[in-house]
Amino acid sequence: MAQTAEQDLVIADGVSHHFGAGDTLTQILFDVTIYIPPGQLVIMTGPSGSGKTTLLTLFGALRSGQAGLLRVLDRNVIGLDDAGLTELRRSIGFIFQLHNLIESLTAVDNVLMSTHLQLAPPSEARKNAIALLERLGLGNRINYKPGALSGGQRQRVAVARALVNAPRLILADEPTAALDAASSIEVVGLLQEHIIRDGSSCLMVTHDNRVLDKADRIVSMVDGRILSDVMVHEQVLICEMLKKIYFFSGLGTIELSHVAERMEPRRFDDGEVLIRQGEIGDNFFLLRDGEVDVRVVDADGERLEATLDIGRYFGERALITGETRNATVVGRGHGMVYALDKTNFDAALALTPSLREQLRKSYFSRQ
Amino acid sequence: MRLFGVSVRLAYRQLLHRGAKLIGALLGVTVAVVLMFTQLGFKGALYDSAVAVAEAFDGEIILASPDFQTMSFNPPWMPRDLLYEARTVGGVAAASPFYASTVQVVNPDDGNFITTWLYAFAPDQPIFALPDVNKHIPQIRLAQTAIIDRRSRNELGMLASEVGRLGQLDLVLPASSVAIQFVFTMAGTFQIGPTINVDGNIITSDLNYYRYLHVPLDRVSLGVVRVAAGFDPTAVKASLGDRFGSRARVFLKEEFTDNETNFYARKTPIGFIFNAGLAVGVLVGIVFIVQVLHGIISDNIREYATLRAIGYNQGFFVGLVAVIAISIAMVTYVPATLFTLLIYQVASSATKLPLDLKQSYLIEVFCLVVTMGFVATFVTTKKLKQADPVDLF
Repeated sequence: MAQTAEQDLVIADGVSHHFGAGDTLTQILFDVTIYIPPGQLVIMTGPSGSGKTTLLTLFGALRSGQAGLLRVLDRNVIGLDDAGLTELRRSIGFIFQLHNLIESLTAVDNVLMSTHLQLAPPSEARKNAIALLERLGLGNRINYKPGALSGGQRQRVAVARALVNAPRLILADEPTAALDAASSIEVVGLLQEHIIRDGSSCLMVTHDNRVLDKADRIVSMVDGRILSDVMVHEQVLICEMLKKIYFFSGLGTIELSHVAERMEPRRFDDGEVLIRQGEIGDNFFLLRDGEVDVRVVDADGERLEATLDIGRYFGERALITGETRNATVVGRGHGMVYALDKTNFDAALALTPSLREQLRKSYFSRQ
Repeated sequence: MRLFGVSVRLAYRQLLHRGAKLIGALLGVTVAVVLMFTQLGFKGALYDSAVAVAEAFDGEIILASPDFQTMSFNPPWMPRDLLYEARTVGGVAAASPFYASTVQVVNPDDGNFITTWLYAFAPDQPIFALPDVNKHIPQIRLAQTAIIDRRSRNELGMLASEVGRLGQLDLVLPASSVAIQFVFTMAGTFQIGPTINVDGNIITSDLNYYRYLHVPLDRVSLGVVRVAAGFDPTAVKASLGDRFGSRARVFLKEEFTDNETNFYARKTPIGFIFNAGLAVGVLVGIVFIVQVLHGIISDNIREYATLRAIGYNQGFFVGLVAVIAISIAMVTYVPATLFTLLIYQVASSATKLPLDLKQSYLIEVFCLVVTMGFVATFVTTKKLKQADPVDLF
């Protein structure tokens, strides 16, 4: 993760949680670490009992944390009292599987229930609520009660209720479970719009395959631990680059994604030596950002052999042949490479069988 | 304050949203409030009827036998000499004898006996501040002549009506002490009202009282003391108390009526019964309100949990429920009051008891209604905690 702690909306580091005590103590979360920076739609998946709901309730300040470091919107949730939790929740947007709208209130009044806890003047809050409902296609339904709205419309009102205060963090629990495909895409699209516009983030627990391709990041939980945490777009990009490399071109989607997951990002500065001629090779590199110079020293002295840019790779020869490095690679300006260690490189080469669509499903199925 | 306004608006919407279910509950609470009013009214009527005769005394101080407990039974006698002695105490303008006994009147239509109070006083020492009584003093001076209470109940009331219509009516009062039946001529009417156990009142002179009952006139039931102008009744009462010591009980009129009320309230089951009825009314009201609150909370448990998730605290929900509870209680107050007026009218007409919707009842029931709302809120608070946002996941 390249984000700094100051930027992250959620910082969970070594978070553990249990229910009960003594003989009945049941550990739900084990040393969970995850950071959620602004601007991400994070989809969390996992089987029932994997701890994702407990994690969501902790992030949502619906219960106080027990162990580890947990900061949400710059407030420490571990040991926070009820009043503090309630106060913190006012800065978070919640969307539930069921809309949970108050039947006796109109659509706009339901949305306004979120604004009463904020400092905005009532007239401005009402204006915002109406504008949001109009943007959600409910301009002609603002004075309708939930009973007179369709399921999709009700969920859109619930989304408006969650978004009306422009929260920096949105927590959604199966928000599309009760919706048809079109409504599901529409609701997630609204969340994406909000994320892009306001720089907020949304953590969505879902089992809805229809919305997976909207995710910026997919987190899989199993047995109270994070099994995988994949930046979807980045992973797709790495896989596409790997696919173009001749010795990885035979790998199937799943194998490529496994290789991509094992690659570690490394930033480099201008003039920084990434590999040095004559040293033993220990990593394979894929250039993600910037340029590098390849320099060779021989009997005639040092010369610039080549300059590599995005998508190019280096360092494979020493790993394949077992020889020492035959060139020095130096950063040309600032940039970033992905590094794969020798063990994983060898393992990848040992493997053999349209990429973007299948990758996400492969991450999703890893539960 | 802003959130209180939100809770009031939400309470209003949620109440209206219940529609027919709410009407049923409102009817139930209205009945409970009417029950409170009727219990208070009947209890008050009972107390008021018991003190009506004392209230009619033209005097500020009342003397009674040391053994006196209540006017509910024939009061024990005390010597008339005490009244003569009382007249010597500074500030006493008059000290007059009052005689009282329950007697039977024969209903001329069917021969059945009717119980009534027979009161008597010396015509030259009037003791009542009732014009209807005082204007008939010349009549009651006549032998075997009396006046009858036109607010008497049942058959006695009808006989009193006959007196009013015919001008006079002879009534037989059976007496074991005379060889032949004693006949009183009812020569006029007045108005005091019956008590809970006696149907009416007859007033005559002390001599007629003696002629009928053969009770020596130096054995008086009560003494009615009028305080001279410029004297403080409390000070005069204290002087009388000092003078008589243990020979008589001395009451200010207000103390006398309080004594009667306390007797019913504390020494008979009546006070307990009416208070229990009042408590039942409050309880029924609370049950109905709690039912409504439980219904609203149960129907909205997920919505309340959602509101809690987005930052509303327990105080908001308690406020919301309190507004609903007190609104229900208050809304029923006005129709219940109107219905109570009707019941009072019917009951007063049937019992001749003084059933008036006093301001004190209105205030007391209003306070009970508000209390009812608060208690219902308190009872329901626990259920509010079931609205846990964690359950939404």
